[in-house]
Amino acid sequence: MKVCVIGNSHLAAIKRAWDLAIDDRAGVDGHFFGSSFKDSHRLEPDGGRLVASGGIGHTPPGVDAIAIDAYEAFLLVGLSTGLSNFVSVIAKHRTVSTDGAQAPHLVSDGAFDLAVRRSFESSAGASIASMIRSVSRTAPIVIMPSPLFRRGITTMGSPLWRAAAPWLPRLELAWRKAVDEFAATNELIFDPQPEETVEDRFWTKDAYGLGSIRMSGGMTEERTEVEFRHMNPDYGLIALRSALRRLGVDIRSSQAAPEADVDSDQRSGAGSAQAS
Amino acid sequence: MIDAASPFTEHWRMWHRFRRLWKTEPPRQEADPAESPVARSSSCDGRNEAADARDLEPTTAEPPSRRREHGGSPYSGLLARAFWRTGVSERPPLQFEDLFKSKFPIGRRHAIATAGSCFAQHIGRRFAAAGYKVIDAEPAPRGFTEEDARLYGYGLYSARYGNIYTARQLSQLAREAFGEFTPAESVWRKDDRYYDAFRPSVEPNGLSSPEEVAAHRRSHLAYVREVIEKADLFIFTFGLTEAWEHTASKTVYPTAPGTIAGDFDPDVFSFRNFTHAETLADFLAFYELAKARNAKIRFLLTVSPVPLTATASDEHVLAATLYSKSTLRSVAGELYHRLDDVEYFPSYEIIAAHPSKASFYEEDLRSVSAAGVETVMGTFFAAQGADPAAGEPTRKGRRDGAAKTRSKQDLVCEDLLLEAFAK
Repeated sequence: MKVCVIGNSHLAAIKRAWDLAIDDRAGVDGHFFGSSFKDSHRLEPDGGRLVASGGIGHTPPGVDAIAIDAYEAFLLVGLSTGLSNFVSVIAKHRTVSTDGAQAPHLVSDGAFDLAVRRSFESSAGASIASMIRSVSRTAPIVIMPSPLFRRGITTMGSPLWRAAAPWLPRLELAWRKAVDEFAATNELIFDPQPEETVEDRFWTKDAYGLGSIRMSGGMTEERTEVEFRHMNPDYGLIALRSALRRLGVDIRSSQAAPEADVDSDQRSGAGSAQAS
Repeated sequence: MIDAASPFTEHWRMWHRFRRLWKTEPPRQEADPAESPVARSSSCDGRNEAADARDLEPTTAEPPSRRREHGGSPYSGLLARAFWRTGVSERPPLQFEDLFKSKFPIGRRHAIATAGSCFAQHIGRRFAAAGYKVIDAEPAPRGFTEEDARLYGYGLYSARYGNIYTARQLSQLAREAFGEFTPAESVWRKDDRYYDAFRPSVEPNGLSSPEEVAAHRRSHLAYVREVIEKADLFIFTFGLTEAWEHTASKTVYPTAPGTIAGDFDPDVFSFRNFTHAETLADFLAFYELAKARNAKIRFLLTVSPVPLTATASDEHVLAATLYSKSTLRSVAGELYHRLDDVEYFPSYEIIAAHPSKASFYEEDLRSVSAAGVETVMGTFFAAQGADPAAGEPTRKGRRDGAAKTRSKQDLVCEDLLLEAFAK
């Protein structure tokens, strides 16, 4: 199966996991296309292709556009589709039931749900999914949401995150509703963040944030700074396994633990001849 | 088709005859101005007829208030804009460049608040698009499209108060915001949903409980206070004299109970058609309250040219419209003349007065076309020394059907719902 994997900065963990853990035995051939957060909105349709005016940041060698018909399936990684990406909606507008007394502006439940839905619809992930679907009515498209932030953001993040606890359940309700509606309308597969990577419903376990991978530098460099948004190849492998399972690909038999028995230098790019 | 022998056709011929006379025979050439068709057609109040026709010649000199002298006619030396012939008849059609002379400058540094009937939505939007600092105290949630925002009453005015059709509604809102008035029957119900009776259209699906409505209203009123306290200029468009009120408490509503939500009970609610005196007193009450909280605030008044959708006055809707608009125009005029910090902008005259021949209305003779809005705002901006096209939503094809449709559909007007009750 020839799979097109498109993502923003979260693509790095997935790509690294793929390079480390998937080989030809999996029967899946991955082509990776990545752009930074601010550039991920620049993809636009051009006939049966997706192009970016300034070029797509990371592409397979010799490829400068995404030819939609060339792929049997698509994985959309991150692209501002995760719950944590929608906190900005609640920054100034909250319902009475979600800490309304503290909110700058009260909104009705209907308005709040609509705001989250519109925000999801305008995310890079939703936009790219729509573009792909406009060309291919049948190719499976799996949305792999941006991972939940790690809890550390509540102590080291913005004041908004420090007071997050009361309104995250309401935000999750609206977000999941928006995701499900969008997925149903566009015949997409939404693959939620695997439970084993989550703690207390709203946070990614710290273990998956240590050694997170940068997209720059060939998607092999680990971050050294403290941050709570990006994950490591361990996370990437779990998420990837779940997403590929949605496509009928089971990589359990063909993969090994990323850093355990694999020579990463030798395996990088080899797990899929086309991976880049 | 017009019958060639109809009274209308004859009237039309007479009008053209008068126009020819007007152009070829200026007043001073008339042997007896009072008897000439020109004099008869130019004024009915007797002042011009008594004046020496030669003194009526327009001039570009200083206005009479600054140069009246003993002797001669007080009309001598008036500006061209003071005479119907030079101010209207001989002008190219639909040009109003000197119709409005601003009392005070309105700059892009001024914080502008807007409120009023649905026509006022055009004003705020165009000011904002032209780069003026229009207060938006209750912005739409992140992610909302423009259409979503309109649906939920965001971005229509400086706070999310919806349409304010009457001066009584305006003063009531301000008094409520500053704790001087407690309205009655403030929550209306429809099925199992609850609505703010004073802005029932801002939540299209209502809220879940009366308590939630109250919480939203408390939050809203805080922003109403903020708007009044921060505004350098408060633009208000008078819309109607007709309203429905809670009889016992004199609380007024923007819509009749039972139109969007609530139930109409004639023992509880009654119809009001406010007079000039009442409307004047209501605006002055608002004016005084606002000035007490914000000494620098000034006011720009307009009268909506949009006719009534329906009247409950028992008059014909045309007569009711003329009563309503005449009253509002009169009040605006009195406020303009009495108060130095109150400006009047004649958008009503541009759209509704007969020189425009109803060309700024759409086919229903009620909705104002996009071209009408552009002319109004262009006239205003030109008078401020700004680009008349400032803030136009689209320059290309602005007179096409799409632009007209956009003008009509962009507005949120609860009174249009009354059409559903027409038999």
